[in-house]
Amino acid sequence: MKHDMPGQVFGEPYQAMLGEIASKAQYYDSEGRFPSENMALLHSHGILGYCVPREFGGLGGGPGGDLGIYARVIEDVSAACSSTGQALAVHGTACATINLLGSREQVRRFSEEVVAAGAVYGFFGSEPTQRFTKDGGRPGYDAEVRRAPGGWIANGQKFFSTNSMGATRFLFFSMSQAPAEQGLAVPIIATAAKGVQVHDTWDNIGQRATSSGAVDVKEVFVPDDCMLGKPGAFAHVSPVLLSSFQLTFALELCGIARGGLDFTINYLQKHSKAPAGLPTLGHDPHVQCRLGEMAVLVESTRALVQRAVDAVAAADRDPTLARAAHRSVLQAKIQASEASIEVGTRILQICGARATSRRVGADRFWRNARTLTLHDVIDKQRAAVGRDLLGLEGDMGHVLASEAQLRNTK
Amino acid sequence: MTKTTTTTQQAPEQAARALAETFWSRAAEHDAAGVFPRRNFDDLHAAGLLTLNVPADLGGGGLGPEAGKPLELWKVTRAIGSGDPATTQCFHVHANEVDILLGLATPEQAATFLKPVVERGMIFGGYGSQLADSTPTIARRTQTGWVLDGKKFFCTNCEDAGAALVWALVEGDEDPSDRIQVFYVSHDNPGMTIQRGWWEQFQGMRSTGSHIMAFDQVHLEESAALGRPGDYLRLGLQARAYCQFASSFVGIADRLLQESCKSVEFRRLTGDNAAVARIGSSRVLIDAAWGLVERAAEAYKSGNPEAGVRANMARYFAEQAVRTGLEHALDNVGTFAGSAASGLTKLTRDINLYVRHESRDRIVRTVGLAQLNRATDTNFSGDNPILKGLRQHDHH
Repeated sequence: MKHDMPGQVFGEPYQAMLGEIASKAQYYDSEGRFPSENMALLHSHGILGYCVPREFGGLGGGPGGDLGIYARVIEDVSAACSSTGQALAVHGTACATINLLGSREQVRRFSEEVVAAGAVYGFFGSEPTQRFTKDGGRPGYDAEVRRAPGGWIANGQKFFSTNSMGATRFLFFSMSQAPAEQGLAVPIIATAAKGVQVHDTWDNIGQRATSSGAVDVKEVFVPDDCMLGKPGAFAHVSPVLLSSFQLTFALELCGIARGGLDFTINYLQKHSKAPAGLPTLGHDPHVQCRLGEMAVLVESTRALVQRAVDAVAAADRDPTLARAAHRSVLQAKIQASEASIEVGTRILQICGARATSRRVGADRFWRNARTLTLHDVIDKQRAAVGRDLLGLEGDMGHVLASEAQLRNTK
Repeated sequence: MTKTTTTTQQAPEQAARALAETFWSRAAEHDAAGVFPRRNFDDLHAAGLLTLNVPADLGGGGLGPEAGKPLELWKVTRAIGSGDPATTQCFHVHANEVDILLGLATPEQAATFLKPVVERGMIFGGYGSQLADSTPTIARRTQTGWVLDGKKFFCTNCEDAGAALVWALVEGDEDPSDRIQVFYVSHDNPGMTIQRGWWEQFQGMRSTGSHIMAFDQVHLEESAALGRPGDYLRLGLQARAYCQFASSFVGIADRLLQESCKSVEFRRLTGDNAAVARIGSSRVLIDAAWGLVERAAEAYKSGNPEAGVRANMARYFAEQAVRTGLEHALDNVGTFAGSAASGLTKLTRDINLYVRHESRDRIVRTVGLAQLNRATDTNFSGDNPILKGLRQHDHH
């Protein structure tokens, strides 16, 4: 489906698509299978290209583009099905990175793959051997690339590799070993390439359909035209790209909280058993209070997330605002983490014992929130916000550690 | 889209922020004496902040909900809140009465009743509260107007107010919610007496002067009645005032965070992750609460019917922000927090009283009912105990 104007995107067909995705959320959760059908549905509605530039047929969302579209799509889809939301968010982050780091020809080529063929991308950074600075930054990767005639040879092991069972290609974060080209390299590798082995190891309690298992890359040849930018360029490509990674988590978690609230309202109105003397469970004043608390949590999170989206958009235009934007993102992430877990807990409290049946699927919101919030240590992010307010050193736990962080670690 | 703030929009907020530091320095003195913060109000008047939400064509600042600029007023309330909770309550009661008057009055009434505010900085009181066992204040019709009899409690500003809005129950058989009438009552009217000795027993918000006001055969002209009986609740004006409470709470939370940061630096706790994380947590809650105030403001501005529910949301979460902010500040300031010199003992007393203006259980239940698309009174929630009490009183 093609859209001439971004405003047309969010009409009735979009809402119907979200309803269809929501109706299958419990199925994918119980199956623990990558939601390929949902990704195809998103493709058919033009949403898979939400981070593809408009000139190449996409919606132009993401850092360097329209952050409003980016935020709306991730939050809405996560509210419908949080596994699909995460899959789409990671795919979008990969597309945004290609836009910012790739040559025009690369952007055109990979964009067309998404828009025309429905290609899904992965964004593989995490490693089983991952080390962190005390602030939660990453000093580097063990995965590496070395020079070869006409391109590069990639080696390394990744895990938490979201989309691995459904991705056409993935970005492979690795350190260049080429003497004259040092730094973080971002090759884009076809999942079907010789030497790539995807392991269906994702059996975690939440976000079960994200296929976030392990991937081995052994002596994989990467042609020069699949290397995004020069090694080392990633750190300088955009002041807000790293913030936008954290922003996607805030958006996904906000979506989970919203989805949990929607689920609860629907359950109360259609499925719950009325207590003695009351027409429905929703007439119980205790339930009304707890539901109100849930709604306040969701709305306060949405308010902070919106603030973060605005701050990142502002920093995208004016890099001097990048630090303030990152703090705003962390604040949204902290609130979204707490709210999503709390909403997940209260769903069961409100809906009662009958809702603990697996057939109801009320437990998935807590499991999903609990799993996704563990991507970062929230206490460290709280401290990072506090340090920034106090004007202390530190770069608030960026994905890649700053020089200052590395010095602290040593 | 980045919002730009013009100089004129910033001016009142900046003026209030500057005054807040002075108010903070005077707060302990006012509290100890338990007197109305007259000096603070002189400063607010001099800065033009007492007429902030008086319409521009009547000589005021032209801000506030009735002018479609609610957030600009609420920012000022927040700023004053960072100086002194008692002063911000006195301020927002004054500003609320102006707002309510504008919501109910005819243009002629508004011009007449707001003139003393513009000309000499007259302060409004707001007298609505009854106690559960008190006889309601009754309004009886006369040939020329009305007569008020009864007692009002928690009459904030009554020591220095020149006039007040007074809520009374019109004699009749209809449901009390349809008989609540708001009156403009000048303090020059004979028959009004401040009863001292009651408010002095309270341990927080001591300088708000929220005494008992007795009305004994207070005669009012017909023009003193603002709108029709029941309009106040019908128009949702109480719910709108919740944003003022929310803004005050956020302002107080700002002060707590400021004291917390100062203390962490002074006590050399910058390497203490837990102390620093508490600062981060407080900031998150403050910004989330303010985000809800902003959302409510947008809703009021655009006429969104969800505005009342959003106001309740803002009020509920702001209370959470200030309560948690207090705990965090006490932890970060440490033992010194127990000293009156820290300012935190007063803030603890003030917050513990201030947040109890409404029951947060009822507020959040209002929000819950709205999620279920159930009709709810966003002013007080469906089972407002005051109305309940009035109905029982009628029955007896």
